[in-house]
Amino acid sequence: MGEKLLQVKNLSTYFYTDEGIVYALDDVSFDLGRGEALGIVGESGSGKSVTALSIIRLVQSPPGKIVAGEVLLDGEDLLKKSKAEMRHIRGEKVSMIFQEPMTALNPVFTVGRQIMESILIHQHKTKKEAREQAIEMLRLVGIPAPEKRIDDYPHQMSGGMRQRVMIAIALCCNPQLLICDEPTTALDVTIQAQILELIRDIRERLGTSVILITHDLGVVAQVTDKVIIMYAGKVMEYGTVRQIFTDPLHPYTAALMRSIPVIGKKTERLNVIRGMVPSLSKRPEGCLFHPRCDEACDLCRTVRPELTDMPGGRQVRCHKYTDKWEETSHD
Amino acid sequence: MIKYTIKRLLQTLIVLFGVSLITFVMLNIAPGDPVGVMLAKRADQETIDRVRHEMGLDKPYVEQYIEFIKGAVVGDFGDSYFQHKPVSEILAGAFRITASLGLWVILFSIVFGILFGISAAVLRGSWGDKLIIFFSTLGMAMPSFWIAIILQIVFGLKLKILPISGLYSMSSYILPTVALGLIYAASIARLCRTNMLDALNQDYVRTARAKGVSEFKIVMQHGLKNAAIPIITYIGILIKSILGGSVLVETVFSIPGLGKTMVDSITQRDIRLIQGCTIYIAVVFVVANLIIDLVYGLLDPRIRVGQEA
Amino acid sequence: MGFFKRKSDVFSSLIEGAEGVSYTSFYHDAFKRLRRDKVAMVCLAVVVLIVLAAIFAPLITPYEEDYMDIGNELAGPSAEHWLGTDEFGRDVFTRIIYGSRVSLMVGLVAESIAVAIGLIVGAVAGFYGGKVDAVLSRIIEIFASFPHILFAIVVMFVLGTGIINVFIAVGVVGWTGLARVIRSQIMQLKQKEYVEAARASGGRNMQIIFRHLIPNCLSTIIVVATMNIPSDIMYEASLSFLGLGVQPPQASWGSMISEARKFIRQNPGYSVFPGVALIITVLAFNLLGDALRDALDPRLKNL
Repeated sequence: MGEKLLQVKNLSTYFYTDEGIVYALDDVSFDLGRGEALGIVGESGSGKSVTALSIIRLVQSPPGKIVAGEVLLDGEDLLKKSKAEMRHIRGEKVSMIFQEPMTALNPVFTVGRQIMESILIHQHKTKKEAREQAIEMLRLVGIPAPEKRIDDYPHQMSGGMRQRVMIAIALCCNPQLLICDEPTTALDVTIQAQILELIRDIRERLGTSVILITHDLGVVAQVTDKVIIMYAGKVMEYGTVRQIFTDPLHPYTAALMRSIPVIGKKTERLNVIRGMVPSLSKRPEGCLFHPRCDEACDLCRTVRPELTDMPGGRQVRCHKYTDKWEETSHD
Repeated sequence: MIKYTIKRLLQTLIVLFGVSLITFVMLNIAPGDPVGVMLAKRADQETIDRVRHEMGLDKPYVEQYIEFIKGAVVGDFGDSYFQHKPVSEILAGAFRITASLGLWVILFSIVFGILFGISAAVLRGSWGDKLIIFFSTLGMAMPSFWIAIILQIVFGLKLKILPISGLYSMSSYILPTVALGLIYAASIARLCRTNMLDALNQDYVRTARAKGVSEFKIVMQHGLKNAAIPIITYIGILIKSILGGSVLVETVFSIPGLGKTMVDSITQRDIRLIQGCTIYIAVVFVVANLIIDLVYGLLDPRIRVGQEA
Repeated sequence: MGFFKRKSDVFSSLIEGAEGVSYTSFYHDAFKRLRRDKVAMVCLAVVVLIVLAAIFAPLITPYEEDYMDIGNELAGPSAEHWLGTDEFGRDVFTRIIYGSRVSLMVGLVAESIAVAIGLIVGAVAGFYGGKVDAVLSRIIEIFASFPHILFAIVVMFVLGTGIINVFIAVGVVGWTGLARVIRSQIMQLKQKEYVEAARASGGRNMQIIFRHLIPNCLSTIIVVATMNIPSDIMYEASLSFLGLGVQPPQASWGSMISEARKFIRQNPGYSVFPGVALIITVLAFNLLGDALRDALDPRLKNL
């Protein structure tokens, strides 16, 4: 650990739509060490998926465009790579798995062919060798009788199995970074646990760095060390899982924590964060979260807060932790 | 799959029976006296009676129909009154010609349709895309017989580079193929564009991109195989339309295929030949459709397995 | 666009009368969408223009339908004869205008026949289901097994030539598509609560079909019928081209092209212009049909 594998610096991705510019990702920065796992948490529309797609440059364009920033992988800026160079990085150095295992696999090809496709692109292997490796990959991700299942079509498999196949595709070239975009959202709870266990296991065995994108703080707690809380395209808070869970700094994080139901604890009703995620094309003045924040003051309504360094290597974007807050609130 | 095949075969048999019944009723019962219609005012009553007896038309309808079916099953549709040849022989020769023209048309329309369809999908929103949409929309509104005449004027009369009619060499096929195929190429281009765009928006294409698959392979493998399924279905409609369209285009180019035989038999009022032609064309279409239905399963694994279950 | 406002009022009153439920907003929205569609509006204008030309043909044509300019046969376009003359010296432009009457009549009358047959067969098959449906579905399949033009040719042979028989032939071949769509729609609709309610309150089957089910298929019928009109027009032109449809001296675009074919050496324009008229008409109806479908019933897209 310690050595930086991925550095995202001031990354901004906008979507140019008929209704105006959507600031899907606005000045986002974070680092990821080799072998580390990072969770990115947020509600839908917070920009967490766009972060992942921006890193491997698969943002739909038009309307999307990465307008600024750097994505350094091993010190090399991916945003400066040509399209052909990028193809060699995708699947080989950086892999990604998606939310919907039902639709993420091509229905007209066998799963074997879809795994072999990736091997044949990135490694100099014959079809036979690729097939053997594909069977090995299926075994690695825990599919029983892989030499038989390799010739199955996706629709012959359950959702959990398909997600395992997706992981096999992602891992077959031994990438340095695995990005998982809501890998368990579409699955049953028991299958969810198995898939998360698999991701954790792979990270330990292969030393792959993982970015796990989810709306579910519980999922993050099971897999990752560090967490980024995103809101409306901006990083709101950054810290270790322990820090975030025991002592959330940002009012939004605190609200998210309260909204997790705890088994055995009686509550009147589920705590829901009031209001809606703001439209990303018509963002509010000041702090983006202030319309939904119980602690908002005049300062929050007018001045956009900066990301502030906090003790313990944490970061938070809230006026509460700045000098200005003290000036205004002690007046 | 076997169960499904048998079920489809039975359905096809019922349809073929219905086709023969409708044709028989229309041509033998509805107009009153077929021989009277056939010979019109060219013969006296005595001749009409004689011909009617020769053709077995003085028997009861049910008996006639049974005779007709018995013959039709073994491909015997009686003799053409005016050509003095078995109808089946005339049709077999005509069918070969229409089939070869039809194959050229299918090839032409699929190649150009898919080519332009894919180009439009890949270039979506650009001027190239708009141009392809414009011409395919226009192409679909053009009557084949009119295109045929325009082609005759331009390439036969003005430029004098292609034969204007008849069927003597390979070059004779060019104008009829284009005249008949243009409309279908236009429809396939539109169909292909829509389905390709749909396929390219699917999650599995994003997965392929994340694997590092090149755009070309994404379009030609991941996209095309999914977009091809509706196009295969369209080939069924295509065969039916070609059989119908051949009536017009063969007439313009004087090609002695099924279509022209049909029109000629109507003009001559050759009842047996009309009857044979109608059933022959319907059978070709129904059987072709059956084959396409069965082949379809091979392309789409979801259906193949669904039928086995 | 006063035309649409009036039309939508007609629809809504029709449906309100039948259903007691207001569909006004549905049709209002659909026509608002349609009005924003520039292509559709241009096509509508073209269709209206063709209809007006057909109705007021004697007022706008420079000659009588069968006036012969003797000594000026097969002339190319000129100031006197904008699109030239035919083999009898008749004005091609005049005859194209008169020919639009045949095409539009076929679109209207033949399609009405097709809608009547398709609606009844489809509704009965869908409503009764079971054996009735099995038999009717097979019949639909049998009729769909003939290439349309071929079937129409045989019908014309049996009935004889003439415009009335063209209406019948084109109508009789063109109903299977609508029957299939209506069948599946009725199958879905009859599960709905208000149909159950109508049945529970003792409504007779025919009453339920005509008062509750068919009005709910109205938008589908409009869309499918509009989309069929161009092919009806095309069938008439094809039949007349083969000499089996409208007979001379009555002008029809198909028979004009058929006649002109003999004179492509002397006057190529004679065969070109009726085809252009046909293409413009078919194109306008095609695009209008697509737009209507997108506005009223996008589910029909994969037909």
